[in-house]
Amino acid sequence: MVQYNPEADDIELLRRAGDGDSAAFHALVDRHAQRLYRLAVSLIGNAADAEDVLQETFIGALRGLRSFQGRASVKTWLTRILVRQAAQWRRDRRRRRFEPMGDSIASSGPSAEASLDVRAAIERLSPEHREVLVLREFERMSYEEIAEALGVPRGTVESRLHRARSELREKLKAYLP
Amino acid sequence: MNCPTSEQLSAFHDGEIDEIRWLEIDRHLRQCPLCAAELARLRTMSRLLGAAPVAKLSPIGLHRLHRRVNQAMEEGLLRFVRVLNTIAACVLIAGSAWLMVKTRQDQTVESPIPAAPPWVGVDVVSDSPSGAASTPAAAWYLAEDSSRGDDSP
Repeated sequence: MVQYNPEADDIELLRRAGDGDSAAFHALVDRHAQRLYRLAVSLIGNAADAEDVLQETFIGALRGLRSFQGRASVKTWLTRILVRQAAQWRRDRRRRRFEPMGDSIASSGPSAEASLDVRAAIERLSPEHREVLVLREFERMSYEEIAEALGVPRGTVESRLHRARSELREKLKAYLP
Repeated sequence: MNCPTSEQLSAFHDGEIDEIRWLEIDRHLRQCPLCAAELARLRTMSRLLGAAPVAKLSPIGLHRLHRRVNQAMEEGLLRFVRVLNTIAACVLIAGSAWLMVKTRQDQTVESPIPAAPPWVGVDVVSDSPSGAASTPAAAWYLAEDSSRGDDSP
């Protein structure tokens, strides 16, 4: 039986895309678009701008195909590009306001109110704290992967995550035991 | 053991701690209600976050993404063609300039200064009353001239 290895497939697609195979790059887009979009919405807070950031992420990846050295996984590499694009977006639009997510967010039934409070609480975190929290809680990335994606030491990830959780605990204490 | 720090408890919750330390904290949690409550809060918070709305890229959004990627690829190709054109133009200009210089140099080498025509050096003024010629060419001319004068009516 053939073992399915998504990471090996990603690297193969990336290699073919680097050789000029546009279909391979589009396949890579299909594989990672949903996950990166979810992450972009979590980091940015609104669907329309998240889509722009997602597009810029893949264009950045397209232009930097040859810069991928295989030290990190393709997933981490793309995540790093997206986090940078989101930071750039924040710099460009310092005065943005939190906007409702609209139809692109699937509501989760009776806990919808809590979900919105959680989303608003995440939105109020500082960008650094939000990044680590989202990568850990939504993307289930390991501390090492987060450190690689953000370009910071593992210890920084641990302390930022701890502080992010402390802040969030204060904001959500109504829902916590 | 003493109570673990909040960071250690956070790492315990995430499974990001080595096995020995994990066992120590696990044992401690059975005896310490404060730490157990703290861990319970962490777990509840993770569940809350897990229940948060999930963003989903619509098929139209995905289509827009693919279209934008195509556009970027075409832009990249156009940029490449533009660079090639610029290089080709530079090569053409440099080649033309080199050819012009080379042709001029070749002409200089193949055509040395031409010999002076026979009339160079002939005295233009030859009306000396003595009729003496200063050069052989002048002497020949004067001789011819005098013979023409004899034939004249």
